Amino acid sequence: MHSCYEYRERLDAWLDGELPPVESADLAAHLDACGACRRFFDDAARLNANLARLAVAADRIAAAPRRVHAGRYAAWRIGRIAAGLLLAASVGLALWSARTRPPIETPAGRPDRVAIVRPAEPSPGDLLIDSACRVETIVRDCTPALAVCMPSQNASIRIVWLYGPVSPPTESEPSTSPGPASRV
Amino acid sequence: MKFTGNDAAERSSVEAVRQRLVRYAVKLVWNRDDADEIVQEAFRIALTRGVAVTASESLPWLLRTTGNLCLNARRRRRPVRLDEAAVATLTSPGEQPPDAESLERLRAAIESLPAQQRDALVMRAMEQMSYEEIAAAMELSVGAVRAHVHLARRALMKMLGSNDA
Ligand SMILES: [Zn+2]
Repeated sequence: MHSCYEYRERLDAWLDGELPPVESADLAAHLDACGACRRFFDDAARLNANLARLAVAADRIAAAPRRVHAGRYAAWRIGRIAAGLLLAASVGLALWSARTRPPIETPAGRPDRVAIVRPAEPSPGDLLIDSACRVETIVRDCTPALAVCMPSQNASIRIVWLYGPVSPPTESEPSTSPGPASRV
Repeated sequence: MKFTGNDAAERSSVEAVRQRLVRYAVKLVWNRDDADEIVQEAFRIALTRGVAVTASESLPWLLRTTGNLCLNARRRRRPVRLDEAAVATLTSPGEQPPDAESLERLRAAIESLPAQQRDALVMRAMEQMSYEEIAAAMELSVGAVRAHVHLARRALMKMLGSNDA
């Protein structure tokens, strides 16, 4: 026999199925006799079910194809046209086709390959896109970076989505350093 | 770091880690674009600090960093609305579906929790992580994590109108 307070302290073990059989039976007997605790545990079970539903909703949001914002898309197009002209001029080929769709807009356009690239990659001629979908540049010098490589409609252009520039560690990032002390 | 970017298995494991972090970040900021950017930033920091993102022992660091970035970011964009149609599909047949309004209230209540309670609860009740995994991610003892989860549940029940919590 325990007090109502003591039974309610076992809420998490009960929800997690961690209660030993004896304690579980003891709790069940108490819930039969105590309406207040029965409501408390019913509420807790409902809360847990709703948390699980929220988790499913969040996972769907996380799994949905990435949306491309109109502004970013426009910037992408402008950048792509400029890049295409540059490449066409330098290679002497028509690399740009109005029919080609930007890979980031296709439903399957989520970056499908993630690579951590060495100085040898990306290679000259690649189109570099930053995390805001802006076309940065056509690669000349390469630095190590975490990048997603995407095939483009044109086989001669590989699109490299940079996760961010690599800079040496600085002391100016304490707010992102892990640990409870950094929480505010 | 010995990443080459040439190994297909390595690339897919980076992507698996990234997706895992995005799922966690969405549960904290409820916006896909923010979550994507936050995870990219976590990867960037990992790179600059030499954290091997594919190593399983790095996952606690990555989760902690992602959580801290979510906290710092707050909401840059509006959270996605949970509409009735979407919520109805979250329920198995025969179950009484919760109304979208009550899930929205729950979401707001989670957001009002103290940061450590919220992180611990999200990892336990929404990410289904073990107390040991959460303790590693939060750099706390298992006992402290259990206490945070318990307090979070009690606080949510109180906020959502349980008379007896
Ligand atoms: Zn009781």
